[in-house]
Amino acid sequence: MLAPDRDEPQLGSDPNRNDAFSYAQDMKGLSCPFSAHIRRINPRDALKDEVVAVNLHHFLRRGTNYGPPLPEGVLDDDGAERGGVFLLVGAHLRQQFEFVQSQWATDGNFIGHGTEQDPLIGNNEGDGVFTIPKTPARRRLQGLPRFVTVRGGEYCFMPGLRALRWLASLGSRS
Amino acid sequence: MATQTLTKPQQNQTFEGKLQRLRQAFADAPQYAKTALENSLKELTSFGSTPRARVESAGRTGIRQGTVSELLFIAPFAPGGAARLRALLELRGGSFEDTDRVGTVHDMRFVFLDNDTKLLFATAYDGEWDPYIDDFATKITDQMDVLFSACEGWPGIRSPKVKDWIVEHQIPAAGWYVAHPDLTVRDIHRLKNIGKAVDEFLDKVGS
Repeated sequence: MLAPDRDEPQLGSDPNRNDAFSYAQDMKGLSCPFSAHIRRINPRDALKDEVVAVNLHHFLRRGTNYGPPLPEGVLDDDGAERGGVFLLVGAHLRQQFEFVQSQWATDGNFIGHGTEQDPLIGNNEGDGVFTIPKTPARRRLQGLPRFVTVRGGEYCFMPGLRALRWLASLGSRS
Repeated sequence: MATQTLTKPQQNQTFEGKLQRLRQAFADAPQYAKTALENSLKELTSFGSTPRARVESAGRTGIRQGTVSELLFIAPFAPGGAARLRALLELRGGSFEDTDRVGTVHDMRFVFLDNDTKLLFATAYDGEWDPYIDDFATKITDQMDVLFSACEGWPGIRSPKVKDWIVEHQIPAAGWYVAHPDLTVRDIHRLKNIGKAVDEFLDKVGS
């Protein structure tokens, strides 16, 4: 979004700038495709004209990788265990995680892309399509492979500070 | 209390079984109806066993064909509700441009039943409404409440009970035809734009 036409390493390493963007100036998806993972999963102001209360679907995300990265230029799997761990912290599973998963990642209708799925975390059949808006004609990548295999997930309950204080106060009374 | 279908459709029945049951049901029908059945069976049997789109459940109740789902409910009017809704619909005069913003609604129908004592509301829409109900409650609160406050017991679109209220009054269709079960409202907009652009292109090429 901030450097769509060229690589800009300084931008990537500047935490004050690399997250300072919105999609309102890119409503045709020419800088960032509608279907890009980053835009689907966190549409920011991209859906401002739709009947979608984007704030309801916000949550905290933290991700990390495990395993050694594949060396530059190597495309064949060397069998090493590698992948990502994703932690979502939210207040409402249905409105947040499940909504984003079902409506924004595994359906393309909200961006007018029919059944096109998220290229990174959707596309479980390995026959994905990825639409790249361009003028005069859009480009479409066919037969996208499956990039991610979900090994497992867990819903965990983490009491808030108020609940912890309340629990602590119960202990002091007895 | 919800109006339920009297006979539940039987699951896993074969096409031959259904055919037999249909003929049995027509055994007491007038002769012209029997003749009509036998005449139409020639065509029915040719496509009956291979439906164009899978009919499945649309969330908690209602049915879905491909991407299109149906929702119909019948609910008693609140005191004065029928007059309020009728006045509102008359003012709109068929204009529902604000519904375009939802982007997933194919149609909506408001029918006054039994001498203005009950409302029949029917709509066809894309996907599921359940995940979006909180968005509706936030973004189109007034548009929803001004319509459906006409109904007895409507809890308000912001109420956590609103889904239960709808499901309680909803009656799933026993039969339903969808011409394009594979097209959402957004798909149709896109195809219209493409068609228009192709026509303009061909007009220019051919002139």
